[in-house]
Amino acid sequence: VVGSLDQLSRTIGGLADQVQLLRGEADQEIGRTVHEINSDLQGIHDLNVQIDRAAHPGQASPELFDKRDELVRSLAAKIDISTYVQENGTLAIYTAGGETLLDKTPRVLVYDPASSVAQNSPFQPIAVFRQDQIDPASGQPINPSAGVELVSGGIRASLTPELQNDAVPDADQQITSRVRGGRLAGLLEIRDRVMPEFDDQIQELASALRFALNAAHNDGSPVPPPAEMSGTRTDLSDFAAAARSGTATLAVIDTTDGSTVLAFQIDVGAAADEAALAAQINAGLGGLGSATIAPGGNLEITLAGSDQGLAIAEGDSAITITDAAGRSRDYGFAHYFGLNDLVVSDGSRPSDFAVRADIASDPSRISTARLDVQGPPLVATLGGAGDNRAAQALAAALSAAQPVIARGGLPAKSVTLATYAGDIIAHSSVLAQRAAQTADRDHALADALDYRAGAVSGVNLDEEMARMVQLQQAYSVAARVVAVTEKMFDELLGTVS
Amino acid sequence: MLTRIGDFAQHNRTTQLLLDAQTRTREAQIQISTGKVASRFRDIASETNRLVSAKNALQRIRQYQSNNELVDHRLTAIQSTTLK
Repeated sequence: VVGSLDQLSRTIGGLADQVQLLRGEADQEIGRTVHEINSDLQGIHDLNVQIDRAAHPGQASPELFDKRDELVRSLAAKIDISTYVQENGTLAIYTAGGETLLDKTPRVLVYDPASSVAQNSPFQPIAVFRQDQIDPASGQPINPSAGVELVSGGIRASLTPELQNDAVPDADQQITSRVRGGRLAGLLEIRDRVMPEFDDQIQELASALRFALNAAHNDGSPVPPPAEMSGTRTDLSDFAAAARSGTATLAVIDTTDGSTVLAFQIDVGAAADEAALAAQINAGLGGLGSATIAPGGNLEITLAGSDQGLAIAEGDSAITITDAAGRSRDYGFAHYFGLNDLVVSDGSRPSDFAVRADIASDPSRISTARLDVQGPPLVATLGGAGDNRAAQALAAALSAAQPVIARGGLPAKSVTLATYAGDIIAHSSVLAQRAAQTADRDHALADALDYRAGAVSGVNLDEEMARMVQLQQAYSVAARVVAVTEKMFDELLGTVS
Repeated sequence: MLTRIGDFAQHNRTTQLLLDAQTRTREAQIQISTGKVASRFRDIASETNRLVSAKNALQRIRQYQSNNELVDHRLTAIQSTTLK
């Protein structure tokens, strides 16, 4: 179980890392594409100058026009453009949005790819500058805000609720693009929309998985129970304000024979804050142990006796926490403080998780038994070595439906984890299929247009043959005329002489 | 209206169509040799959810079976020790 869970955590973490890696590659590719657009524009400008130098537009060599057409074709594949031939035969180029890319002088697109890409790392804007706005020595704009933004800087195209609710203005985080077509638009779509949304779905899956596993694991206890519990939640600031209710039962168990030394209940709803709750635990434990809020901010419960262990039953205790993303979840007492977590965070994202170190090294510390609570009068007994109800609850947690919030095209609903994982795959495959169909359609359209252009500009052999026959006939008619004329002259000369 | 046809364009177009036909043949060959209609989820997008759910159910049933076998082995072991 521990091995599989470890593997699962690595798979999910690896998948999330892969997504960011692909975004990084897309970002580098955007940098390269911008560079190529600039060199195409420069090339077209150079040809424009040569074409303009010819005295009349018609005198310029056709090779120059051919070369320029080639460059325009290459440019059009990267960004959507519209072109306009001026009176002197030179070509002006605008983006489809109307931004000038080339008239008398070429404009320069400036983009600085991000050095590293993470979940919420920012990207620089892509802006168009006139050449006099660029420092020739560095190639960078003299005043970065003077350019016209084609693509704004930010984190991603559609903001998640946690990004919307944070302190940074949304306009600084949302990337809006005026590029509608070409390779550049495709790469931006991947970097800012498709990949982040896929990442959102993976994070949601990881978050739901962690919640379900830890909820089940905290409600059980290993046999023998541990003498010391250290909470994993270090930020308890939302405890006091959270909606709380119910009671949890704590029992001190004699680890030599499994009997209960002491059992008591704590009222999660009545405690004013986490310190008051720790005081309740201290009062309940009497002299057997102590509960403190550690300097790190987490709750720690330590028993004094060497042969004693602490077991917890969540009972009906509930602490409702709504996180920044809008997930509203009911935590039990031990689950909220993370006293007996199965998986713990080892990074900032939900997908960064690992099996708790002491369980990974000693799998017997996984919760298998449950604390049975009866009363009043309160009687709590811990199931023995043969009790596997907590282990079964862990297995059941994976197949129980639980709520997920709307993420990256998948709606908010109540699903099992396996179904959600299936939904992610199905959603991605539908997107992939749609993209492939669009690509097919566009290819067919491009081919058809190519064919039509070729039909107009190309040579038709039948036509040429007909023209040749026509020429041959004209030739033979002319020869005939010459022959007749010659004969006439001969006749005339004969008559005269 | 008679459409003018450029020979080079026509030639290219025919070659393109031939290549397309070849690609489709290759896909059909792969389908025949593997016995599966698609090798990627993308090709069966609308059915993906059902396939993944079915795989999931199959996996759970296999797990259930192996659990049952394990319990069976344990019971057999207990039986053989208690009957002695």
